[in-house]
Amino acid sequence: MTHASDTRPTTLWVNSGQQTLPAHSHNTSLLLFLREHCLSTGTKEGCGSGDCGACTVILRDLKTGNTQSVNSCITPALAARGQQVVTIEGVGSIDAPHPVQSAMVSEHGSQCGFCTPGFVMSMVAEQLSAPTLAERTRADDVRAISGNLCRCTGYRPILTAARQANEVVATSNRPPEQWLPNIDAAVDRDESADGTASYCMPTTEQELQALLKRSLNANTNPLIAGTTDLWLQVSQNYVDFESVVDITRIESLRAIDTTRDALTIGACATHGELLSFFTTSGSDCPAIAEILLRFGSPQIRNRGTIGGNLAGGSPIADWPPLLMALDAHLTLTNSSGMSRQIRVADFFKDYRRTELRTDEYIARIHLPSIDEDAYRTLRAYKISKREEDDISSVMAAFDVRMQGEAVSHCRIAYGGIAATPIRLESLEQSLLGRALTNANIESACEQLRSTIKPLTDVRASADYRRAMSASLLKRALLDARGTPVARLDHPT
Amino acid sequence: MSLQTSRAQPHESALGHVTGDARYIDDIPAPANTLHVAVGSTDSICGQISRCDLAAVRTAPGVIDVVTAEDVPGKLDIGAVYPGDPLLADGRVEYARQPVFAVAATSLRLAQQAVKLANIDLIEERAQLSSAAAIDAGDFVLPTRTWRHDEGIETEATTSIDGTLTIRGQEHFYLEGQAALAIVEEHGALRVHSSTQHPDDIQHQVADVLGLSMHNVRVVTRRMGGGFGGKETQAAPVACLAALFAQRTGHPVKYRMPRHDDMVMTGKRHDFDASYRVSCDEDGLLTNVEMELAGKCGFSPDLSEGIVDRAMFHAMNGYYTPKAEITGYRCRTNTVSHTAFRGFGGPQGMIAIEAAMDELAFATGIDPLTLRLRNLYAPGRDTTPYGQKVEQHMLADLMSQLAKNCRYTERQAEARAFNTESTNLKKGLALTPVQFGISFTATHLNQAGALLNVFRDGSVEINHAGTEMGQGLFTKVAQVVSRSLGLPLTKIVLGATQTDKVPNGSPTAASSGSDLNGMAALDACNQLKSRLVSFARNDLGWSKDQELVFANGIVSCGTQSLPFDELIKAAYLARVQLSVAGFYKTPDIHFDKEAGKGSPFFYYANGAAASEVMIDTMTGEYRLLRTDILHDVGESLNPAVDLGQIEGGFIQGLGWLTTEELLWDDAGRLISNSPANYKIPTADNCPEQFNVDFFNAPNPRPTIYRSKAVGEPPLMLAISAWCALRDAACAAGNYKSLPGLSAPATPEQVYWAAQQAMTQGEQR
Ligand SMILES: Cc1cc2nc3c(=O)[nH]c(=O)nc-3n(C[C@H](O)[C@H](O)[C@H](O)COP(=O)(O)OP(=O)(O)OC[C@H]3O[C@@H](n4cnc5c(N)ncnc54)[C@H](O)[C@@H]3O)c2cc1C
Ligand code: FES
Ligand code: FES
Repeated sequence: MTHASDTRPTTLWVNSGQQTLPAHSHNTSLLLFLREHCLSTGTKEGCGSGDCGACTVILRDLKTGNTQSVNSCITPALAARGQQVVTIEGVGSIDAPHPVQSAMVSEHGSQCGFCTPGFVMSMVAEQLSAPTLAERTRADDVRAISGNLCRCTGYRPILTAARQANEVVATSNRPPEQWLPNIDAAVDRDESADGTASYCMPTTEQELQALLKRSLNANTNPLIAGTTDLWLQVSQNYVDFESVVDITRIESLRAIDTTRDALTIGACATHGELLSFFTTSGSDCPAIAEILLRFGSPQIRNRGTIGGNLAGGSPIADWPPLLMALDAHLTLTNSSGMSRQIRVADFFKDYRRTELRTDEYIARIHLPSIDEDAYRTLRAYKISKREEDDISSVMAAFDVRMQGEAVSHCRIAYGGIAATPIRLESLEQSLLGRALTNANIESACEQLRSTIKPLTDVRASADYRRAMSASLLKRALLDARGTPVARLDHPT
Repeated sequence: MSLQTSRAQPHESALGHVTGDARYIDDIPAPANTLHVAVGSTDSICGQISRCDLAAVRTAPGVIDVVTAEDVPGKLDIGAVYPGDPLLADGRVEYARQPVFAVAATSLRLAQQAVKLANIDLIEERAQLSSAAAIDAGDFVLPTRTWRHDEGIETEATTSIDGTLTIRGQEHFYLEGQAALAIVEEHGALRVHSSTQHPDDIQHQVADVLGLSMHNVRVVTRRMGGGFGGKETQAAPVACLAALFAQRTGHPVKYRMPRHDDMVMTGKRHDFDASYRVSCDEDGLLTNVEMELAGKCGFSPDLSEGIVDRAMFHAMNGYYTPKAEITGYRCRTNTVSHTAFRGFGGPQGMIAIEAAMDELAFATGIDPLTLRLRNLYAPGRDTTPYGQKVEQHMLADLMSQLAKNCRYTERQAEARAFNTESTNLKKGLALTPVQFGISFTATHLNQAGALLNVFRDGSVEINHAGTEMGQGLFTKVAQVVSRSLGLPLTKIVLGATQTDKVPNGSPTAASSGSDLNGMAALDACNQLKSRLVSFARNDLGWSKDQELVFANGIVSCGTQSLPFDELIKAAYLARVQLSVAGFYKTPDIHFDKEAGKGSPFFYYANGAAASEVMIDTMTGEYRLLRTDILHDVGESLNPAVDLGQIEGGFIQGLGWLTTEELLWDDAGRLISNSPANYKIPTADNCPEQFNVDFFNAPNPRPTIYRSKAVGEPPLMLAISAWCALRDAACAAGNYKSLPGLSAPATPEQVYWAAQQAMTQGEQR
């Protein structure tokens, strides 16, 4: 790990050129850097909180060539070290528009135009990723822009433009990545990936542990992963950190390892990486995929990590109930390199408080087998006001096994019904050995309704949360019984 | 629908939009030393300010200047129509986060950090937070109006229903937040770039606040990143504060509101509480309608007079009643002052009567579509409760045609069949009309100006007082000029809206943009043409008996012709004036607000939508499966733009009635205060089957090329989706009772409605 001195400016690749970032820019977002330092004002700020997508840019890894769309408003500028930042200006111009841009013009995909650059970037980013252009469905196109809000068009013309542009690129002899701006091949690509003294980018866990030894204060010198949670402090509350430690360059924290009957996930694995993992045949898990497909937006999934989702300690985070129901454990490692294991079910102490000590980090998440069979039912459900890119009002996960008519094993966990995500062990106990008759299901629902004390807030009332807890339990148990209720079709 | 016509021109800035080249206020390269504004406030709700300690704010890094109400040299009150809106709190705070002071600093970040350092205390008073509380207290921002109408026709009511409906407001969520950039020019004059729908109001307010005359202030608006009514009056405080700091410091000053501030500090669509008693005779024909509409106005009048009026105007939508009594309350609450939002009160009035129509249909057993069709205005049954005669009766045809095209009746039967088979999934359908009155109800606003400059090389610039917020007004006006002068669009440049080019402009609002400005531009073109005609006849000796034809860039008269640019060059040399001011005022409209009688609207725009939904009664989750729309745009000026307004308006209305839930906590603080907890539709909410067509009928009124206004009316087409959700919830109880459903119909509300239907269904 080399640290460029903080008194010197650093550089970032923006489109085809190198741009200078002033010293002490660790609190500068990529959006601010683009708009105020590079004067690339095509990238817009619609919210500053990762919700609207107007600030979407593409990051292309200089080493691997991998591309992903991100919300530049909640991405630190320095997180783009070692990457090429592709902005709307790099994608095309009035004289030489990208096929996506041409299609947006011809299909009348812009009205006020403020959201438009962000949509173009998301659509271009999707062309660069799976599934291949020829196989894309309308649902893929919808999902690709689910992190972009447009208040004017009603989206129909944007979807038409996406379809048309995909066809144009698919039938051109230029693969999608060749539409992006080139950068000089002679660049020393490794050097440009370094951090700075106030924006540390350790590349090994040892380096991270050494940094943690300096007794970092989580409020002023936090660890950061995808910053989709923490950066809101900077962009919404205008907090300035003294320094930050970006742990996403540590390869060992990103790995997803499968052994015969267990799975180990590095804390810095992103939701996007996990979504492809859990939808790839051999490791697929429909229950997890159902939740991940609705986790934030593509931009959020590209940056947000599973470790950050747990460490944030939010009662409405989507991973904890899933991991609790699957009986996952965490490895927490401290500054001396000592590790301990803890059940996810025991990790959450109180509202936004976890077992994590100040000198510890979440290293890995361990999952036992997630194979479903005729006797095992894994289910997870998310209730929110809006289908796409919304936070759960209630989220539930179930792992139920049957032996004959009776429940032989079950784990049930919920988010959104208490100050922390919770596993409902007494409810599990009362179901064990019982047949899933209507009466037993109803009494389990009643037990759940009467024991929880959810809150009323902006997302839902306590009464609705209570009712939903029961509805989701019923839905899962009917499924485990082999008599599933019908569900709304979600276009696939 | 097909857009293969030459009129379906892309938006004039489309290429700029898609490449990021189109500039919004925050993209204008700011001059050196530009300062940035942030506004400070308190989280306490209301009361007298007992302490306002800004010492730490003044010494915070980067802070150059701090102002409170006392520092305003001119007028503090920037109320648009009536007083009541101080630029900064004047000794009292009336709602949580009301601006109390403002800071100008060297960066936005430093300004935002500084405002957090204030210590403000209030002698807190009990806050009045609901319309009901205001009505109990008799506390209104403006007097209550009741309009009574009785045609003295003998009727016999056989069915009556009583109902209430809670209708929540809506956050505009224009993607570009409020923004202004003020620059001091010579002699203390100011140039203000503002993201506003009403540059003239900005000019007037800035001048008043700074103690200047209007001619010292020039306002420039090239485009907005969305407005929807939210930049009609709400842009003024932003521009005024930027201008105030510019005047005080001499620096250029930018005020761009971050999203969170924008959500908590600016006004929104009014919440309304509606209650009604509606009666009909044996055939389902309305005999009497009594309706009370209570708008939650917030702490000041702002535009609430007209907004509640418009709710009252639309309380009958397209339906005739011989007898009506409609009351509108303008409730004062300790919340931000609510303001214009696409539809301007009309949607709230309209959904109330549509809810009532469904209840009446349920009570009489008449099919809801049949009941609606029967009650439409028709010759002889054509007087509205406010005395205007409806002259164009198209809704019956339009709705029948839509029903036929989308197989409404068959699909209704299919849905019922599905519902008997399905346990927890239920389908619902509804077809609802929209009849929306076009004109500002404040008669004086129905005027517009345009400035047509023809340069001596034959290139043309058109300016008008209308503003471009994405609705395609500039594109349409350019098309009007192109059509009138026979020039390609490439010859015509659209100037930014500028108060020194066309003064005294009305807001671009009330869907009036192209009606007014298109006509003003056409007037300018006609004047230019008549000058060119006399020039050609008198100086060039062209025939006096034949018309001059302007087409394809050529001006011809019989056998004689000249390219437009050559004719212009010759006219210039002959000293013909090539700059023309056009003007237009809408004829034939008048209204007595107190009596509630007159003809406030030049015409009505019509439409109808049929929506089909499916709900899951176990959770209240739902999907909009299909929507079909038939909409009346008159003779379309630009089918692509009009289609965009219909689709976009529908989805915006859908958001209002489904996922967008505007919520305050019990103390009076807005809790739906960020896009993380206030959810406007995403692409997923756009129905996969979304068929939109125009009902082709030229406007019988002499509007610009017989077109019709299209900005607001389509929003109300989304009422069909809300009614369909209620129908599906009703199905949950086997159609034994029609449950209540508040708006928005979030999954939670749909769940409760289905529950209500099921329990009531069991009881019967
Ligand atoms: C628009 C939007 C949509 C969202 N949607 C969802 C959603 O649908 N469901 C949901 O659950 N969440 C959602 N979130 C919340 C958030 O994105 C996720 O919780 C995400 O997983 C956080 O991970 P991160 O890597 O971005 O964390 P960061 O923001 O980088 O960090 C969050 C916290 O965790 C700490 N931290 C991170 N990694 C570690 C580690 N390995 N060890 C110790 N501490 C660590 C950080 O110090 C910080 O305190 C959304 C957020 C946004 C902005
Ligand atoms: S500005 Fe809205 S997501 Fe970044
Ligand atoms: S075009 Fe205005 S927000 Fe999308």
